[in-house]
Amino acid sequence: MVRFEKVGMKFRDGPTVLEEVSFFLQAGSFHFLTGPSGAGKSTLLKIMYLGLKPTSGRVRLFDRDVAGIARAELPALRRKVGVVFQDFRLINHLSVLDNVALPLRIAGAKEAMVRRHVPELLDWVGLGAHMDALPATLSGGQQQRVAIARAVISRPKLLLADEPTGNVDDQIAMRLLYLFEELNRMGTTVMIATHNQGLVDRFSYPQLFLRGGRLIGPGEDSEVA
Amino acid sequence: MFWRRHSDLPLRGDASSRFLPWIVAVMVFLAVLAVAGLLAAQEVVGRWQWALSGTLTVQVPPPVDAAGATNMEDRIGKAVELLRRTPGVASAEALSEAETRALLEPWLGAGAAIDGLPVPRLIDVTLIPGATVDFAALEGRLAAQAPGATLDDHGRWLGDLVRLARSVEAVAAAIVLLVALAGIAAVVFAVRTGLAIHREVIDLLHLIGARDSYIAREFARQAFTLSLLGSLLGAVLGGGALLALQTIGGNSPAGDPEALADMLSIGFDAREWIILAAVPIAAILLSVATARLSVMRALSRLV
Ligand SMILES: Nc1ncnc2c1ncn2[C@@H]1O[C@H](COP(=O)(O)OP(=O)(O)OP(=O)(O)O)[C@@H](O)[C@H]1O
Ligand SMILES: [Mg+2]
Repeated sequence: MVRFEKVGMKFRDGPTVLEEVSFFLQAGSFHFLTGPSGAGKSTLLKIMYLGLKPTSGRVRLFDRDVAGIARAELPALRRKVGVVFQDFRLINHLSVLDNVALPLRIAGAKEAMVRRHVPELLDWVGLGAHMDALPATLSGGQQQRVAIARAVISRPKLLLADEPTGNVDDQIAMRLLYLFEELNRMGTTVMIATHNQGLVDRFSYPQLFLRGGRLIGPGEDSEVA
Repeated sequence: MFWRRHSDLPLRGDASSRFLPWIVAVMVFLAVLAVAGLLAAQEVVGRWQWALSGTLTVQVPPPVDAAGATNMEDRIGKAVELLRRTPGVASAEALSEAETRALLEPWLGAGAAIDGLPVPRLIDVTLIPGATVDFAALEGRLAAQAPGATLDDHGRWLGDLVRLARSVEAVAAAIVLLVALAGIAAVVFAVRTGLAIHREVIDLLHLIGARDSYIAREFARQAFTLSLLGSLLGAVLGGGALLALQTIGGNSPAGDPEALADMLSIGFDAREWIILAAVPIAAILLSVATARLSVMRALSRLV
């Protein structure tokens, strides 16, 4: 599903953020990506969702070498990836419902299908009563759940969640992780970046540990299954 | 879909596009007037050509001495005969003395005795449509029959008028072209600004899997709404101005309404009103196409 081979990332005039990062995500697997703040977790995810090109190494996604993907092919690949951004990136002038509906509409889904699936999912994440609200009127945790709903609405093959439980209490965090598990059970490959070690430890999924831009621990230079 | 309640990009509130309807309105107004000028010039030329081409006038000068006077009718008869025998001539008819008198009346006053005056006589000649006649040779042969006879094919006079009308047309076409270019520039500017303002949302849409065309559609839709507004306004103003001009022209107190006003008036027929109505429609299509193309171009240069 995803394979990194000695991937390095250095921003122009900036620091080297990732160095020789190698790992493999089997289709249908569930991983945590942990590490201290500034370790490069978000950057690694960004490379995975094709928002950033690595400066060295090779990345394979859905059995394609990312370097060889033409611009015109990007939308189709990106639609198979659901992303929960660390800063949510909700569209402020759109209602909660319209924000969550965005991936469906972009993919050309019928409006009837949007009306059926979006409210259902919003109910599930506990926002059924806020469908017509604007994001700015919601709490941080509520916004985060909107972002999560948007990432999973189109049943992506790969789900990348960047600190998806950073703004919610433990009870909601567990509920959201159950949602991810549910998706995983239905075949979605999941990777969750977080520095909430306590939460990670409640599950027995494999962890990739990043520090200073390098993978450390069980994931290091080997396949993680 | 087109009238969906929300568009994903909040283009509606953009300051960069607030003036677009006004700009489009001014452009459509100018373009409507320019096209109207073009049509009017074409119509006038057409009318003149229709009225004057295919006709010529032969002038037979009055006899210089009294003896010649008896010859006058004879000369005219010969000239008419020659003309009728000439290939390409449909008909040749000498104006009678009474008709000549009627022609001169406005200048000389009714009842003026022209019998004693050295007045030339005219022969009206109609040509077969499409026929080519060697006017120089014809004039030579005419002079042999009726000394001093000259031939006026209206060509020189008409040529000047046509040239004038053609330059009016060229100017009008240039105005339309310039207005279109300025309109394109205004739309491109609004689109570029919009792209910059909404860069973050556009990035997000891309990451969620939106194609450039999806984003371009939002801009095209916005361009449609704004230019529709502007075009309507411009068309109303332009159409109103034309109607006003027509009314003023029709009531022109100067000159003979039958002749001058008819030659110069800008009475548009249905076909011409349809062409004029096409101007605002073309403006809308142009701005939508411009918005779409410039978004696609700008986005293709990203990432
Ligand atoms: N666009 C950029 N330009 C330059 N440097 C960047 C850019 N994006 C990230 N960095 C740097 O890369 C490093 C890693 O950032 P990143 O966001 O990946 O960390 P993180 O592990 O997600 O941290 P956190 O847990 O706080 O979210 C940071 O030092 C950051 O300053
Ligand atoms: Mg981060």
